[in-house]
Amino acid sequence: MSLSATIKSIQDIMRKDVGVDGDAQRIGQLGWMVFYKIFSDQDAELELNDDNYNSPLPLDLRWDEWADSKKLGKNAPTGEDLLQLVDGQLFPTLKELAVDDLEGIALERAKLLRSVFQDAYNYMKSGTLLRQVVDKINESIDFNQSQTRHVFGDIYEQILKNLQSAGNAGEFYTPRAVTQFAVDMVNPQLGEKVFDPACGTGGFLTCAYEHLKKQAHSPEQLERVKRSILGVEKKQLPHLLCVTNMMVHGIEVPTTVLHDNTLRKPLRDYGLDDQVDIVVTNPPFGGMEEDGIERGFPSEFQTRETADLFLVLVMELLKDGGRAAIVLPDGTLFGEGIKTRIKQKLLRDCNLHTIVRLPNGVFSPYTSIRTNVLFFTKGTPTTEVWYYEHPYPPGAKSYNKTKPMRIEEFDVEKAWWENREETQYAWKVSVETIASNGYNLDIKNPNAPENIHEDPIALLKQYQEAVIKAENDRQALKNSLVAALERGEI
Amino acid sequence: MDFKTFLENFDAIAEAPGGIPKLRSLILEMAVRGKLVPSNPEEREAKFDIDDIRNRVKELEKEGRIRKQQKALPLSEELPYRIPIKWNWVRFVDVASIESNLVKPDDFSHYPHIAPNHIEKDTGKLLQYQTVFADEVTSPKHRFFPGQLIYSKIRPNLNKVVLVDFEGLCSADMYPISTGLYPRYLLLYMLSQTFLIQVTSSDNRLAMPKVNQDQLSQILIAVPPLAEQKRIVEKVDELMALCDRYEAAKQTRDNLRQKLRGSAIASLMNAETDEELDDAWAFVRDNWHNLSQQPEDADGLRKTVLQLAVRGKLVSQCSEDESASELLNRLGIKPLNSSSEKLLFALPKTWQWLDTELIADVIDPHPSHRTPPEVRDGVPYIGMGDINKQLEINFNDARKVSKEVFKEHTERYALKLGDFIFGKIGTLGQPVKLTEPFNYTLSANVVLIQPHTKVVHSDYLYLYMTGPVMDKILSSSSRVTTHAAFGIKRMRKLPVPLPPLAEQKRIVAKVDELMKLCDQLEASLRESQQRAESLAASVISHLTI
Repeated sequence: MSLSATIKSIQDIMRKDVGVDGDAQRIGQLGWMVFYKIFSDQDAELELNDDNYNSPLPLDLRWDEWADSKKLGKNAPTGEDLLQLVDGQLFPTLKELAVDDLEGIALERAKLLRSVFQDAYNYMKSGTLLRQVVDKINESIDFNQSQTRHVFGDIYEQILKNLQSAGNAGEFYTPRAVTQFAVDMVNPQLGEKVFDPACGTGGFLTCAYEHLKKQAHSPEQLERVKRSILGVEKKQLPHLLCVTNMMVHGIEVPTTVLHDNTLRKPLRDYGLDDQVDIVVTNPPFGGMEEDGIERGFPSEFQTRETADLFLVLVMELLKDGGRAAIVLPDGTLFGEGIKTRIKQKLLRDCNLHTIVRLPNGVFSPYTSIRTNVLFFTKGTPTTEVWYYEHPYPPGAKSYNKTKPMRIEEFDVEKAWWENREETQYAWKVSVETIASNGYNLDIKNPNAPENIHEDPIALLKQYQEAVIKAENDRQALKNSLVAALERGEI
Repeated sequence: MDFKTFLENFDAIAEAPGGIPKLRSLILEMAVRGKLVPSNPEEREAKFDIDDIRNRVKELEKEGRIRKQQKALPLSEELPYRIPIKWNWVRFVDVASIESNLVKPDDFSHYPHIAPNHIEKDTGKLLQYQTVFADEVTSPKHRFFPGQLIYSKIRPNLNKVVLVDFEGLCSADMYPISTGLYPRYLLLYMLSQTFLIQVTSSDNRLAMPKVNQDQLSQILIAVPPLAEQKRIVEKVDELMALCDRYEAAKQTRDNLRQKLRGSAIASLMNAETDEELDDAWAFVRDNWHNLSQQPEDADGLRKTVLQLAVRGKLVSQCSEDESASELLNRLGIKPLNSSSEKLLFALPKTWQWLDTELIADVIDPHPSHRTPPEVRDGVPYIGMGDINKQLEINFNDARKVSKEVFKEHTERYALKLGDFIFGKIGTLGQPVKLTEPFNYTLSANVVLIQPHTKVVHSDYLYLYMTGPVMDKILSSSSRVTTHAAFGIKRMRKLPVPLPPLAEQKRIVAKVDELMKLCDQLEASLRESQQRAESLAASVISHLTI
């Protein structure tokens, strides 16, 4: 069965349960279950490979011991027994997990496990249905199989993508094509710290990790890479999904992904130690923060629009020479008032070298808002901004579930990146022009074909030829019809 | 209509909107009536072929290789039309069988999957499709085999049928059909009007039009001798290919014409100097025929008129007129060139650039910008939303506000004939003349413009503000995505090219006259297009050959 069909059937099972309300809870339920399964699988593997590893999991609560009905056969708990086990033992034990006598990687994993279960919740009220879900997960998600293992990252991403069409949870997912393109262009190098201050389900982080993994040549280097991918997510559910996502990509202890709000800490409290080499992020747009958050920012940048606050924060978080790619809505580009001041600062402190304008529907069906990827480097002021208007693939009028944006679409931009010239899709604007225009960065493509009227004289010649051709073709059709129909019988 | 009239009007029919699909349909209809290819006296009659098919089916039934078929009802007295001597009428089930074959998609995940939306309407063409796996199919589907026709039984009006040369699964809303006829002949028969009319007339479901197995089995089929079926298909292919070629050529031509029109009008609108304007006009004049063929072209012509009007080209300057600057002097108006916009183009000598505020009162009718509360039986509060397509005020749906608001408004402005409003938020521009009786108030989303009639003719200012110069100013000021706005300050500083008062009157009269001609032209073009369309539509149903 295909993966999305599995997810759908799991959701159908949960729909029957009285305890689970709505997609958010269904995803929350699925979230901790998949996390626990993967965590247990990984634990078993660590124990096998590392003699010093002391699993923090109590023996009788391991996934295999209660969930795997293939192994347990008729002894697999179900109904009230299963519910009692999960609600009465699993959750209480893991929430209060003792970590004192652990050390090293086991300690960190224990802490992670504990924090995840402190936030998670078992919504399901029927043990029988819970058993059905557990079996489905066992059937289709086998992290132990080595051949499926390396593709598991992609599979998990598929799950996350399905969330996008499952309602509001889509706000935490950035399409893979966009994250991949942003990371490829920012091009993190070994030894550089990569940070996503609003990491959602970890799309940018896993892309950055895969990007750096290719460069690592020794296990030590790879270890360092794992420690240089940093993320923060405010909400519990995406944080859980992100942690799992990092795990399936091979980061055993994703302790670098924190469950926190980056905006809560006042801007002035961020010091040199907090600065990073690379920021890649898709901050929440139009999100409202709790009262008082904006007071952590200097008064000229105080706004309720989270996308703008994050833009200010990113400028602060970058080291001198640090690079960033950030997804922002059109509103930030043309907005006035505080937005103008933020953009003024951006152009003064950073070299905003490229803005890739994405078409509608990249984030559909979650939102149809138009977005842009801004690329900038801190330290030198902007002299000119290159724009690239990303077109739909030939024949497409929008993106949707069956025809999402594909990474190959960005090949043109990648080729253009190092050899920039004005094309039908690319144009550049000097910083003076932008300043005189009130720092409005929402600049129309002057090279778009509909804005260019060709020379009428040349067109006239083409048109006259086309008239003759159409005339001839029409006559040819008429003559054939006449020949066929008038066989002398009429 | 007889064949001769058809041929005489062939060009009009082919050029009409939707004309080519009509011709295609006509070709199919002629094909299944035996009008396209001559019959061959050497060939045996169709009934022998039909007997062969019946016998083969019986054998297969006996062997248990196919399910027992529905019984064909006897032919009715009334048959759709007269067929050639060697042809025969039969029921669908006599020559074809519906091979339902539902399977679970899980076992066929890498097979192609075809649903009604993968088939083009009316043409029998297969569009892009995917595998069962990619389409995430879960419910049972019919399995089909090479050489079968797949017919969509839902919404038979869409005429979706295709001949496949591969194996795969199709939607349960479709029938895989095997036939003993030349399969492509059955395909084109199923695309013809004769077939469609039978399918849809037997259908009396309302919510979801559908044809069921019983109905389909009894549809009447005109069967030519087997060899003739092949010749018919070849002929249809040949004619359809010609249609394709003509359609493509027509498309190219029409696209180019549209571009030509766009570019000709644009160069007229963008001309800054007099020379550029003269050149652009000469081009429009010399290609008048190409620029005035479709009803949509009238818009470009109207723009041309307005553009020429405010550039001083429509009526000649008269040396006896009091020049604009003399008039301003006499009235003590100082034409300060304080305008923030740069002057847009060169003017005739007797004309003068002026800011709007010097020749009209520009009033914000509701400065508080807080929409007043709605009351019963109040005074209409007119905004751009209450303006209909004919640029008239529609009082019916307008918000009604209290007498106090009305009173407060009357203290700020008194409306008079010649005043007009101008959209400043949301709908920009689109000036609308105000009409009596003036028992209404104006919304905050408009600017009220009251021209000083001693300097400017109201209608002249109005036509300037409807014209392409204004369009250009507005489109450069409104942004792609923001809530469009054209503030009152910019309105006051808007530069206006002011001709002598006497000339303004002549311009207004001339524009009126030309606009009427444009309207007439548009109406007559529209009518001739509609005529051609209905002519094309009647061709198939009434062509008697």
